[in-house]
Amino acid sequence: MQMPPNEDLLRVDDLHTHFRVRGSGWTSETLRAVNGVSFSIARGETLGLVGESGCGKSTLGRTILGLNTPTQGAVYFKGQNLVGLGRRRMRSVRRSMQVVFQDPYASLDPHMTVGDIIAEPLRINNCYRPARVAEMIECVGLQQDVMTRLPTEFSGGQRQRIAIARALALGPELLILDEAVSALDVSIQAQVINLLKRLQKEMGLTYLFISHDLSVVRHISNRVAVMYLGKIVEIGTRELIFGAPEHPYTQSLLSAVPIPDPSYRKERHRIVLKGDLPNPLDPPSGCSFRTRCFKAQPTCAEHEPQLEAHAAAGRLSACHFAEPVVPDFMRSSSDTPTSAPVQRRGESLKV
Amino acid sequence: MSLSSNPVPILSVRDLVVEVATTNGPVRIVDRVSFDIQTGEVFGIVGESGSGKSITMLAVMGLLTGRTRLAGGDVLLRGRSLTGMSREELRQIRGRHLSMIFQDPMTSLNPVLRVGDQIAEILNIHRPDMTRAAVRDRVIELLGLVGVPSPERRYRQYPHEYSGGMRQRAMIAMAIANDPDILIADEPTTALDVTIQAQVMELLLAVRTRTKAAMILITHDLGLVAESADRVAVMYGGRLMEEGPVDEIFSRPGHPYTVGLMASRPRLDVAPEFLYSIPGQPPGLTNRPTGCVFNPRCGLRNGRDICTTSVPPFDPVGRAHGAACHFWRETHGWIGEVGAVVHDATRVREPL
Repeated sequence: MQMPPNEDLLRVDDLHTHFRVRGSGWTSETLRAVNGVSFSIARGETLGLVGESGCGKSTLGRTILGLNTPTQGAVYFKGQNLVGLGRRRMRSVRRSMQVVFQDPYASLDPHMTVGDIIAEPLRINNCYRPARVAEMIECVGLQQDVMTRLPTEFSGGQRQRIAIARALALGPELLILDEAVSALDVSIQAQVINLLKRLQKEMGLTYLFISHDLSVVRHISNRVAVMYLGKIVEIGTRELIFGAPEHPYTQSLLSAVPIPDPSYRKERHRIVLKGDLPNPLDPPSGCSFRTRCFKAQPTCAEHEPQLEAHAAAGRLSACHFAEPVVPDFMRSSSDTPTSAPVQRRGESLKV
Repeated sequence: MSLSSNPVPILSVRDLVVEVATTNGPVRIVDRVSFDIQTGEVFGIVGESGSGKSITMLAVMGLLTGRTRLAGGDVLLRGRSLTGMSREELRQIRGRHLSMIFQDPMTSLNPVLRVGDQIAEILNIHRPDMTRAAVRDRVIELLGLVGVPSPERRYRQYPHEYSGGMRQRAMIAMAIANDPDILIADEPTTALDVTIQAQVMELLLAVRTRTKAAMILITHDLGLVAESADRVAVMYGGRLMEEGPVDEIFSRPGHPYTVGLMASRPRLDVAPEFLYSIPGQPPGLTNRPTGCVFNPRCGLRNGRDICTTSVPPFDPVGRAHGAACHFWRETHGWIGEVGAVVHDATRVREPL
């Protein structure tokens, strides 16, 4: 199916992925790992998906790929709903939808040569050409002699390049990167981030970049979605999410990220959240963030806030008291977004 | 070489050498590392995996095992050498004067013992005069101090009943139980989510202020160091590359590796289109470069021979600030050349 440009490559509509888990005794409980998520990604765009461990971001990625079966909702890829698609048709869709996982030590078969690893998706789809494997090795910045070697001979960064070459072999349009650079050391991480950016430009790829690392997400994404307990609590352009976050959870996440600059020490105002993530088997009533929220009011326990536009276009958030606040690290910086008026820390924005 | 002017460091590490036995003979994984820790300060050690930062601290604690061994140098605690001590003497020091917090609280806690009893053990070892009731009260006090809610109930729970952040709090309680002189925290928040990391770092700095202990913070995260350390040492390939006060290191890095490390990390406050990346791979165990260990990846070297033939001395490059680079005078100019973002432009101070 041919799509006009600028249309959404991927659209997720009210997606739920629930798991049955054993409760106490003979009972079973429902874990709502993904609990009503909707978003879309335009062709050529990078959507960053951030959240802490257990928020459901990886399950969301796996559900989109068809590795988990959704309980409810739809996943439209190039206009086609993938939910309920038969195995054979799903297989052909997967050619244009690939994934790179976090741990390149676990995701590459140690008994296969690098050449065979990259050739495997081509062989499965009956389109194996040695030249294609060579081309892939070159485009991820490896030497041709790696072809006959085993993954065990490589470091983490080079393994991740091999995993990227394998994911790109079939010429996919969407790449789901699930913590793809999180396990790498700083100097190697920068190399792989630059590689991903270059490949996106060259091949017109669309990325769903799942990560817990806000600094990396800011660097690589056009738009960002923030997840908490199975739900998106805020989604919008990178400039708005990082320049003037509206949801208290986004605000506290940003305030918690250390910035490598000692001169911020005195200026920085940190929102330290109370407590841990609530038990996902028994999420709080109303707004699921209210138990840790510094803005929580009695109404938050009764009414669940919907993901909706509050002020400026280009961003939705799910909070009864949504209010954009410019993070303190953006105030003195030269690239303060023009769309968000600069304000003093702690002051609320009048829109 | 000591860079600090303070005469009595609480901990002094002198020319420490650690070797690991390989099939091709011993390899130096820590190579002549020296630094001093002053009373009450927070000293950050930054480096990537394999830089030797954790092994250095294990050597300080006398905890080297397996194929690694101390092959030279000395560790002085308040002037007393730890390297010549017997195991029994060291046991008296560890957990009392020196204590350590590890990255992964799940593997450092015993899963089949109650958390409270594990903290009590450290008191029983070093304070045999304390009664059982006194120990119990002290453990509950410690759990409360590190922010574990309802400490009486939590005392009787097992590690699996604690969340990741709570386990790290329990580890901190254990580490501060005997009011140590030095707290060594090895990647204490790496396994934790960012909001929990903020809680734990805040707690660590608070208990440190309270107990007046010095802290050695080992991390790969320059952000954590910038936020919490007074001085910082940068390690690479088993060697100390640079050491100095935090403000100095971040505003006037002297070593090209420090520059590369700062520039290759994406950050929240500046968004460059291009991210500087250090080319190549860190050295493995068997292929240590000759001369400067960073020379094959260095952007400042420009093919100069001295970098491969001679190990750069640790030169003073500023006030209490040293770097092991033959060409540290060129570093500042090079930062501009490669377009590396080291610092927000509005914040950079005068060049060297």
